[in-house]
Amino acid sequence: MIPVFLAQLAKDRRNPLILIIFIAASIGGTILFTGGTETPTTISIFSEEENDQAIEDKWESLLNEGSDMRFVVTDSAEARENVQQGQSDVAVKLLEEDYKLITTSNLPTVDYVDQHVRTVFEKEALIQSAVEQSNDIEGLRTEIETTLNHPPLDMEVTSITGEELSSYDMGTQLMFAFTLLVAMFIIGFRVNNILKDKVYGLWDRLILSPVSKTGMYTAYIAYACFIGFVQMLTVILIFKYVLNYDIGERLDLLLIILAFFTFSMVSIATLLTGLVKKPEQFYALYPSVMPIIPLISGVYMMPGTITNPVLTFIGDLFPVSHAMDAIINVVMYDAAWQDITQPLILMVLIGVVAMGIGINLVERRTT
Amino acid sequence: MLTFLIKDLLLFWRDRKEVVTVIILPLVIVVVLSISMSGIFEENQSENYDLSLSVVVEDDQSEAIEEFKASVSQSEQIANAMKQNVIAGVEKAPPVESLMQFLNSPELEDWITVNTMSESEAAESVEKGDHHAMLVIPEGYTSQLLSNIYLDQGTEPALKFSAEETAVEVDMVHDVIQGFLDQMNLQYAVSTSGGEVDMNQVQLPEGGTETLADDQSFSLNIDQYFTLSMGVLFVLFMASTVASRTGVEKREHTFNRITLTNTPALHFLFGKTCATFILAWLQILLIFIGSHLILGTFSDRSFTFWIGMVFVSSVFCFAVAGMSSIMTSISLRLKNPEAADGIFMSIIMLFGTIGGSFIPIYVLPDWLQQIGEFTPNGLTLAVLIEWFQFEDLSTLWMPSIALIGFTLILIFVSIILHPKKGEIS
Repeated sequence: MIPVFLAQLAKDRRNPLILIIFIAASIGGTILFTGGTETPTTISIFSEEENDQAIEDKWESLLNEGSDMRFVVTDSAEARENVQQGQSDVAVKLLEEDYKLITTSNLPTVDYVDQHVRTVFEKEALIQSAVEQSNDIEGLRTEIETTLNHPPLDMEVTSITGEELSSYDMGTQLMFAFTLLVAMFIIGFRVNNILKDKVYGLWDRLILSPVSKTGMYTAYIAYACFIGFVQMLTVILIFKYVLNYDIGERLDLLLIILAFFTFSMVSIATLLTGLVKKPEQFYALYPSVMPIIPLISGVYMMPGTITNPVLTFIGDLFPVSHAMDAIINVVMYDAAWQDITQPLILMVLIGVVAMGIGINLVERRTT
Repeated sequence: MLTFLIKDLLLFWRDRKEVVTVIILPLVIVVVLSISMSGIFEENQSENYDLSLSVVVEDDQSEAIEEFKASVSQSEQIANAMKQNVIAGVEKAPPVESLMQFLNSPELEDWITVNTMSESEAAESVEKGDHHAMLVIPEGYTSQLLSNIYLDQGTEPALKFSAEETAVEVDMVHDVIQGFLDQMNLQYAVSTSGGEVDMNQVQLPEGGTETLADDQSFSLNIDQYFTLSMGVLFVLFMASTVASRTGVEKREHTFNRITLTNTPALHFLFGKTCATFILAWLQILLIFIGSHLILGTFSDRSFTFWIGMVFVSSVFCFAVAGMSSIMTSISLRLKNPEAADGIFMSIIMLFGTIGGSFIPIYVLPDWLQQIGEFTPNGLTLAVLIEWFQFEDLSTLWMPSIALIGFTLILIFVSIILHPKKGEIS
C-alpha cells in the first residue's frame, strides 16, 4: 500500500505545476472575488429636463447619502446604451420631483435600487412640502436635517446574549467557498488517477503484484485525501499567517472539519469515477457537475438565501453545504466540538455511502 | 476528409454515456436551476419568506402619557398655546402604539408573524429558532422618548432588537422595523421643527420603470438568463470534450495507424474541428429548444427571433470549433496527455469564470467583468441577451465578425501547430 502511495506522490513531486496552479488559483480567486464585493455597484443617473444640471446635482448628493451604492451622473444617451447592451442592469432618469428607472430586465438588483431611490424621493417630498409652507425655508430645512441626524426613535441591535451582533462577513465565507471549490477539483483529478492507471495498464500490473486490492484502493484514496488536505491546509495557513485574514481562534476544529470534508469529497469523486470508463470522460463529467454544487448549496450567498426545499435537499446530499455550515459556526460564532458534531456526522455518512457504491462501481467496470 | 468527420461523430455516438452527459445533463441543470432559483428572485419576494418576530412590551404607555401631560402643562419651554397641540398630537398617535399597529397591520401580516410575550420567553424562542428575532420595548420607553423629544430632557431611549445570528431573514425583519422608525423620525423632525405636513398634500413620487426603445423589447427573467448562460457554458465544454479524445487516440495508437495510411495530416484536424462544430451546434439548439418545451422559455417569440438565435449560436459554435482545433494540435504536440488535459481544463475554467458562467457575476470586480466580454462565451452571452431583449439586427454584426475573426485566427494557428508529416513522435 505504502509504495503505491509514494509512487503517486513521486508523480506530483516531479511535476508540481498543477498543484501550485491550484493553490494559487484558490488564493488569487479569493482575493479577486472578495475585492469585487467591496467595490460598490455604480448606477448611472441622468436628467432630460430643461434644468438638468440643477436636478442632477440635487439628487446626486441626496441619493448617495448613506447608500451602499454609488450614483453617478452620466450622459443620458450613454446611460441608456449601457442598459441596452446589458453592461448595467438599471439606470435612473431624474425628473424634478419624480424618477423613472430605465431597465430591460427583472433581475433582483432592479428592485433593490428601486427601493432605495423611492425612500430618498419620498423623504425629500415630505421635507419639501413641510418647507414650502414655512417662511424661513432654509432655516427649517437645516433644523429638520439636524434633528434627523440624531433621530429620536432609535434601535439597538445586539445578539441574543447581549453582545454585538457581528455583521455578516461575506468575505470570509467566500474565501472558504473558493478553497473548498478548488479542493473539490483537485481531489477529483487525483481520484481520477485510478482510471488513468487502469487505461495505461498500471492497474493490471498492480493486481499481479503482491499488493492486496484493499491496499490498492486505500493507497489511491489516501493519496487523494492527502493531496486535497495539503492543498486546503496550505491555503488556510497562507490566509491566516501571510494575509492575516480573521479565521477564528479554533484552527484545530477547522482542520478537523476540513479533514472530514476531504474524506467525504473523495468518496463523491470515487462515485463519479465509477460512473465512467475513461479518464477523459471523467474530465467531461466532473467539471460540468462540480461548479453547480456550491451554487445549489448556497455557499456563495448569505445563509438563508436559498429556501427552496428541492434545492436545499439536493445541496444537502453533497458535503459542501455541511462543511460550510460547520466552518461558519466555528469561524464566526466560536462554536465548540458539540456544535459541529452534526455536520461532521452527516459528512461521514455521505462519505461512507458514496464510497461504498463508488468502489463497487469501479470494481464492476472491467475494461 | 469526410471519413474523419464520420469517425469522430461515430466515436461520440457509440459512447452513450457521454451523449447523455453532454446532451441531457445541461438540460437537467437548466431546468432544476430555473425552477428553484425563480422562487428566490420572483418579484413578490416577501411571499416566499415566513418571517417571525417576538415582541416584548415592558413599557407602560398610558401611565407615561399621563405623566407627560402633567409635565407639559408645567413646562415653561413650550408656549402655552402649543401645549394643547402637543398633547393632542401625542394622544392621537402614541409612539409605541403606532409601532404595534404597524407590526400588526394587514400588509405585514402575510409575511411577518408577530407574537407578544415576556422577555425570557422571547429569548428562549429566538434561541430555539422559533422566531427569527425579538424586539424589546424597554420599561419607561414612552416617557423617556416623549420628554426627550418635546422637553429636551433625559437620555435618548432605544428599542432593543436582537437575533441569534445574522441571516437574510433577520435583516429583512430589521429593515422593516427600521423603515417604519425612519418614517416616524421624519415626521417628528418636521413637527418639532415647527413645520406642518399634511400627508394628503404631499406629492409622493410615482416611480415606475421606463422600458427602453419600443414595445418590441422583452424583459429578461432569471430562468431565461439561466437557459442562455448554461447553454453557452456547456457548449464551451464541448471544445475540450472533443479535443481530449485526441489523448485517447494517441494512447490507443489510433493516431499512429492513421499516420501510416499516408492521409494528409490536416484531415485529422479537419475531422475534429467539424465534429466539434456539429456536436456543439446540436447541443446548444437542443438546450434552447428543450428548455423552451419544458419551461416555455421563449414563448411568444417571432420566427425572426429564432433565426437570430440560431445565427448567434452557429457563430459561437464556430468559435468553439476553433478552440477545439487548437487544443487538438496542442495535444498532438505535447508528450504528456495529462498536461494537455490540465491546460485545456484551466482555459475552459478561466473562460467560464470570467465569462460569468460558474459564479454569480456580481462577485467579480468591474474590470474583470469587462474582460469577460472578450471571452467567446462572455461575448456570446452578452449578444444573446441583447438579441433576446431587442431583436435588433444591427447588434449582431460586430460581435459575429469578432467571433469569426477569432475562429479564423485559431484555426490558422492550429494548422501551423499541427504536426506535419515526419514530425509525429
